[in-house]
This record gives sequence, C-alpha cells and structure tokens, in this order.
Amino acid sequence: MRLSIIWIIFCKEITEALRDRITLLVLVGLPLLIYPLSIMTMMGVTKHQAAVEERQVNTIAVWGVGGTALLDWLAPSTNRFKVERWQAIPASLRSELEAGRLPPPPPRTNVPAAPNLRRPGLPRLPTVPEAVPDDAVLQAARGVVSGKQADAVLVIWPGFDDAQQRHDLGRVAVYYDSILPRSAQAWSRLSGQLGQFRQQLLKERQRERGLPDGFAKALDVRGDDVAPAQRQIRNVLGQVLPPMLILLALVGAIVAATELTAGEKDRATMQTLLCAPVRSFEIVVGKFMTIWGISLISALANIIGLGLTIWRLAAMLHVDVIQFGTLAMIGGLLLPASWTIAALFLAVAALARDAKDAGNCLGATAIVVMLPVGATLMPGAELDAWTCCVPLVNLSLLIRTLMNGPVASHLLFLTLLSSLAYAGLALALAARVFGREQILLGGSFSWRGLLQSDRQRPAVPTPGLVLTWFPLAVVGLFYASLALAEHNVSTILLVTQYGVLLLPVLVLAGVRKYPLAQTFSLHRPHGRSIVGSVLIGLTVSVALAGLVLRVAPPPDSVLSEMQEVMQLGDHPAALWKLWLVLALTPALCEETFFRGLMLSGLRRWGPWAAIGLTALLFGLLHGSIYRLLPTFILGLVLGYVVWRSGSLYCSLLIHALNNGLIATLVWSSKGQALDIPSVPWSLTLGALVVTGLGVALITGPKPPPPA
Amino acid sequence: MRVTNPPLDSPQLVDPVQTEKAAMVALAAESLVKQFETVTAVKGVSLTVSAGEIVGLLCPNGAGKTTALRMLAGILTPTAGRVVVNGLDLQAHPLAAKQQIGFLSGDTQLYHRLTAREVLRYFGRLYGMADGQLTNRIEQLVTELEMAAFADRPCRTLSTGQKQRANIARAFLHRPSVLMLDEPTAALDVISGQFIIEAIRRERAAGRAVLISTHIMSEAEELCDRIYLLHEGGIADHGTLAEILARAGCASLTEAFLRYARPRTGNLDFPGA
Repeated sequence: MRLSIIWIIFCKEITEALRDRITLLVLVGLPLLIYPLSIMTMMGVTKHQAAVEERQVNTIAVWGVGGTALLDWLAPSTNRFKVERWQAIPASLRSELEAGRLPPPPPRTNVPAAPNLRRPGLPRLPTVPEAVPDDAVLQAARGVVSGKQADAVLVIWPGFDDAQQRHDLGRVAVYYDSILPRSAQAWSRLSGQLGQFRQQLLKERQRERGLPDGFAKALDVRGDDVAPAQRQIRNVLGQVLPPMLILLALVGAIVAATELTAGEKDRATMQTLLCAPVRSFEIVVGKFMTIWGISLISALANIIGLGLTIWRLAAMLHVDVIQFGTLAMIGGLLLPASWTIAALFLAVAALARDAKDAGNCLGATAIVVMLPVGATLMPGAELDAWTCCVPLVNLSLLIRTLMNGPVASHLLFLTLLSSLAYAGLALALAARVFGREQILLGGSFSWRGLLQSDRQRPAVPTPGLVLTWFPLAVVGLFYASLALAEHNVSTILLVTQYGVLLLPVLVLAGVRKYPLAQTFSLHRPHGRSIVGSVLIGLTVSVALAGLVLRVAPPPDSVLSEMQEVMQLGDHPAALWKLWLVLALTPALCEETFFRGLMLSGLRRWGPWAAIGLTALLFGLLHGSIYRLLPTFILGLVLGYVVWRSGSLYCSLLIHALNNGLIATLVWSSKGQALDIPSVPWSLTLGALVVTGLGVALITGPKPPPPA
Repeated sequence: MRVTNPPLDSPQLVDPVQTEKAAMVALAAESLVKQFETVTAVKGVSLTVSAGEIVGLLCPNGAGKTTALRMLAGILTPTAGRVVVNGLDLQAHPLAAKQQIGFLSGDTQLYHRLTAREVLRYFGRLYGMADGQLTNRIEQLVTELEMAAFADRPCRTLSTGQKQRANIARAFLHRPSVLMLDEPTAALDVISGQFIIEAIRRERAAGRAVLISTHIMSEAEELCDRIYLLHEGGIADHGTLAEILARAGCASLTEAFLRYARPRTGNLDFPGA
C-alpha cells in the first residue's frame, strides 16, 4: 500500500466531487440555508398564529334556563366570549329544557387514576375518551359546533339554580369539537373560566359556614421540575439530533459512493484506472477516504447550520442550550460515524451494476442502517457495554449522552474501538469486491463470485487477511465476555483466550495449510536470546509501571478493578491458578495471535509497520485507554524480540514471566491496595537498564529468520 | 482449417527472421484461457507483438476480443496461461509490467468534471512520473495531438473526436513500450480517424509494439504488419496480410475474414468493412 498513490486518487476524486455544483448545493448549501430558514419561518408563523388566536372571540351558545350568576361571571370577558342564549337550538329541545323535563345525564363515575407509568421522555399518546352516549342534546350540539354556528355549546341543565341555592351540585355541560382549533380554544378558555367560577363558589360557601379556606381542597400539592429549562431542551435535542446527524451523513455518503463506484463503471473509466500500476486496495482506500470526506463535509455543514439556528433560538429564549465544546465533540464523533458509513457504502455501491442500481442498493442499505439508529429515539436506550458495540447505534447514543453530561471513558473507548472494527470489516468487504474483476467491470453480481476463495491462495497470511481477522476477534471478544458476564473471572478469561484468540487462529492455519514454523516463527532460539528474554520478562513490568504510570496514572477505580481481576474475583486464588489463567494462557493465546499470525501477515510491509501495527492492535485489544500505552510499548518489545530472534518462544517466555510476576505481586499483597504509581526512580531506572540489556542480547537464530 | 499460433519456445520458430523478431518480442501471450462461470470466453490464445510492429486483432463481436485484451492489459486474471511484457510476467509483477503498457478502449470516457490536462496529470502521477517531466510530456502531447484548443476544457464538453485524442494522449503519456488499442477509431469521422492512425504510425516508428483491434478491414490492411484472426475464443489464422490472403485464397481481407467466421456461427453479427 503506497500512501502517495492513495493521496493522488483522493485528491482527484475530491476535486471532481466538489466541482459538481448540484452535489455541493445539496450537501453544503442546503443545510446552511434550510435550518435557519425553516425554523425561523416556523417560529414566525407560530407567533403570528398565537397573536391571531389571542384576538379571537369565541361564540358560546348557552342552552338552558337560569345560571345567571355563571353568565355574569363570563360577562366581563367580552374580548374572549360572545355569549348567545339559545343560539341555533332546535325548538323541541328548547321547549324540553324550558319545561325542565330534560334530566342531566348521569354524572361520570370517577375512575381512580392509573399509577403514572410514564417513563421520562416518552411522548404521551392521546387517550381515547370514554364514549359519550348519544342523546338528543349531544346530537344537536354536535350539529351546531361542527356547522360552526358556535364554537362551543354550554348547557345549563334544569335545576341548576335550585341546586346552587341548596349548596348542592350545579350541573353544566360543555360540548366542543377538539378537531376544530376555534372550538378547542373555546373549551380551553371556558374550562378555565368555569374552574375559576367553581373556586369562587367554594370560597363563598366556606365563608358562609365559617370554614377555613383549605376545607374543600384539603391538600395542596405542588410539583416543581428541578431540571433547568436548558437541560430539558438539551434532552429533547439529544434524542432527535444524533439520528438526524447520522441520517445526514448517510445522504452525503450515498451521493459520493454512487458517483465513485457505479458512476465510474458507467463511464468505463474504471478499467482505465485498473490498467494503471495501482493496487486495487489503494483504489479502495483512496475512494473510501473521498466518500468519508464528503460524508463528513455534508454532516459538518448540517451541524453548522443546525448549531447556528439553535444558538439563535437559544438567544431568543434566553437559555444556553448547547456549548461550543459539546458541539465540537459531536462534530468529532461524526468522524467515526461517517467512516463506518463510508466503508459500508463503498462496499455496497461497488457491487452495483450501474448508478441506478447503486442508488437502489444504497437506499435499501440506508433504511436497514437507520432502523436501529432510529430505535435509539426510544427512551431507555442507553449507552452500555452492549449498545456500545452495535455499529452507529453506539455513536448515536454516545452523542446523546454527551449532550446530557460527561461520558464514562471506557464506554467512549469501547465505542470508538468497535466503530474502528466495523469500519475495518466493511473496508475489507469493499477490498474484496474490488478484487473481484467481474463485479468491478460491471458484470453480473453473484454471492458465489464474491465469497469464493481466491484461486491461488498465498502460502502465508496476507495483510488483508490479518487486518480483517483483528476486528472480527475484537467483536468476538466483546460479545463472548458479555455473554459470559455471569460467570467468574477465570472462566471468562479462559474461554475468551482459548476460544476467541487461539482456536480460530489454529483452525485458520489448518484450513489454509499455512506452514506452521514459518507463520508462527516456531524456530529454536539462540541461547543468548533466551537469556535476554528472561531478563526482559523479569524487569519490563517494573520499567513500564515506573515510566508509563508516572506519565498517565490511571484512576483508582481502574487499578482496583484490575487488582480484582488479577485475584480472579473476590476470593484469594491459589498461586498456580493465577499463573495458569493470567500468565501462561495469555502468553500462549495472545502471542500466537499477535506475534504469530499478525506479525507474519504484516511482514511484507517491513519491520517498522509490522511491529508497530501489531503492537498498536495488541494495545487496543486490551480495551482500556489506560492500558493502551503500557501494552503498546510491551507489544513493541515483544514484536522486536520475535522479529530479531525469529522465535515465538522468546516472546512467550517474556509475556508469561511479565504477567506471572505482576500476578504474584498482587497475590502477595493479600488484597491490599497496591501503590503501583510510586515505583521509585532508582528501581525504574534499574529495571530499564536490565530490560535494555535483555533487548541487546536478543540475536537471530542459527539459521537466519525468514524474511 | 484452424491454425494455432505456436508458443514462444516452440521448435517451429527456427526461421531466422522469426528468431530475430522473437528477440525483440515486447508482448507475448501464452495459451491464455478465460473461464467465466459457465462460459469459456477465451480458449487458449497465444500471440506475440514485437517492438516497432503493429499487430492487428480482427474478430466478430462476441469472439472474446475484449476479454483477451483485458487479460493482456492486466485488468482480468487469466484462468490459465500467462502474459509476458518485456520479459516480465504480468501476474507475478503486475505493477512493473503495467508500467510498460498503454491501454485504450474505444468506449472509454474521461472524467467529466476534469479538464483533459488534469486527466493527463492524474494518470501521469499514478504512473509515477515526476512533476517537471510530466508537465513537459503533457505539453509535448498537447502539441503533437493538436489538443491546445480544448486541453483546458472540462471533458464533458468535448466532442467524440476530441475525447478520443485526449484518451490517446493518456495511453501514450508514460511512454509505454507496449500499446494496446481496442477499436481506437470506432465512432470517429474519417478525419479524426486518420489523425489517430497517423499518431499510431508515429509510435511504431518510435519503436513501440502496438496491438490494435478493429472492425475496419481497410484500416487493418493499411496499418498492420501482421494480423491475428480471432474466432470463437481461439486464433483462426495469423500472419502477414499476404500470407493470410494466400492461405484463404481470397483477394481481400474482408473475404478471408468472412470465410473463417461464417461457417461456424451462421447468423453473424458482423459490421463488415
């Protein structure tokens, strides 16, 4: 893989893409315009409507005799109500009411309110009102309200005045149509006024009987929401914004992926490119970077458009909704989101026959991708060990969590790591598609063609293979350890180490018939190398603890968690068991995986890239940001030792000694907290010197190592 | 009467002229086979092109010409057989071998939103040409192929003839020792076609090996030093124009071509001369 070629392809593709004015307008211009315009327009319209509604006067048809006190109460609000007695009432109904023959419907039974099961954030569904029995009054009122002869009908049932005088229950009914805005407004105003009237009546009755003010009310309950307004707004934004941003990043990626793959097939320029002295993987990476870039540009344009609008809104509402730092972090998280999308879409679009086909395939893929992301709108979806391994869902949840406060660093790390793993898988798929000549030249697509193995299989693992293998192992490890979460630490460690790391690698080597000695560097080491390895194994942990933990000390919680793991749970374990589970097993499994398969797979990229990348992946696999640096450096040492000595046995020895010594140290502390960061400088320097001496002693085996 | 082309190391190659040519062979295909899922598109094609020679590849549509050319250019991997470019095995050393090939297909478009000059610059950089050298070479080609009037216009605005000139420039750009031209004059008017033919002749004079496929028989008669007749995925006959005409007992290449092609396929989709 030559970076210069990738860069040349990237530059050309991005230049071409950005020259397409329509793409640019859709991806960048529109978001910058559409958010401010639409939200400002919406606000303007809402404001105008509110003003219009405020000025509206509702016509209330009052049917029934008496109720003068009630109507007097409504009378001063002439700017809100226009009361019309007997308006539009059928003559028969009027005579019935006047004659007092029409009894009021039976009072509604008071159903005890259901306990409030509403979870925060869940929008309340409108409840279907209890069916009102159809009677003559209701039918007549419905005709009047629906016919807009009045906005509401207030019926004063016969005997209202008598009941009031007896201090009994006076009964009225309001008929309104919730679908008609004016009628709904009339109900809302009227119920407010009637409620006040009721309060007034209660007060009078209490006063007349010399009862205290709180007699009828008995209990005053006041609920205060302590969440400040800005947090409430942020919560709503946090739910809606992340899926929207991911959707918008998808739109950019669809446009770019179609143009860069199927478009190039349509114009037959793909074969020109394939004639050039360029590897297909370089084309894949160059195109991937372009799609990533464009998807990012489009998502960022959306963030800017949205951010400016939110700020403007916040200023108008006098709340500080979202800080610049949060917005910048969200922008940063769009990097992994769009790289996952870009890699997936590149693979899918490359499978398509032409641009139209690509549009269809990508549309379908976008829907499949958006379904789980849309599901994050549901309340209760939270970022945890499970969800942070689900592609895109994890980023959507991460953005939401970020908007509401800080995020636990291990979840952040896991999310980024799993995103990287999924993008790696998608990119490997894209590379595979690009390796299939028939698919690439616009021939018909078949799964068999895509999945069947290469005709000439290389005798040793390739970089492509091991770089696909690693994300698979990461995903496997996460899910295996989560599935085993109920079991004790040693079971989890043994199963994941042997089952996920070692066994699949051995099966792979067996199926593909790799030469074992060459692939896994199973050569007898030189005596000097063994001595050197023992020296390194005995001292490297102290050197690393003294150096790295000084620079980046992990929080106590991480240390105590590690200490718990190193004791295999709560109970003190036997020392032999500690060595078996924590030293020999990881040494065997991890060394076979990293210094065996990965190092030999990356060998053709030269020692710097092979050792460095293997060490980086080794560090990443340890799944904690605090362990990244020490494990990375240890990985560098182990990689160098295997490269130089040509023997995996050396790194096995170092790894087992290193882990075993740490486990013994923890075991001997008998559960007391270890004060690792305070390794004295003298000890650190001494350990460093011995480690350096060990490294210098490593030498090649008698027969030269395979190059 | 199927005449198969002998492989390079065949003892039949003892003719002194042939031996001399074999020493300068720039492109050699040895028993190329390409099997798609159910169809065998190319069934054992062997051919050679020497430096300073134009070799024609004539065949009816669907006879496997495009597949064969794509294998020769390293776009498709042969199911069996191998391609050797100046002594380099194309499959074993794809990057080094492709460096010496210039490929042009009649249906190839250019990048719509780049100018002709930008397209040339892009491919020049992919072929590893240094900036200064690349600029000089582009200027030289723009002059030689009379592209100055449109070299800085976006390719989507170019006419068919202009596009093909830019495409030719792209194929010649990195001074490849082997040129593979798949119907380079298809869809061009007589003037543009003749312009391209002249450019190809100049490349021969400069010592390049040229493999050209065409449906225009007069063009093949006029241009090619040797001709391969491809039929149903195999070589039906090959040799100089005179040799082919003599063997077929025909007066023109068109007649000879029909003679080989017709009896086997019956209803032939054949554009003719």
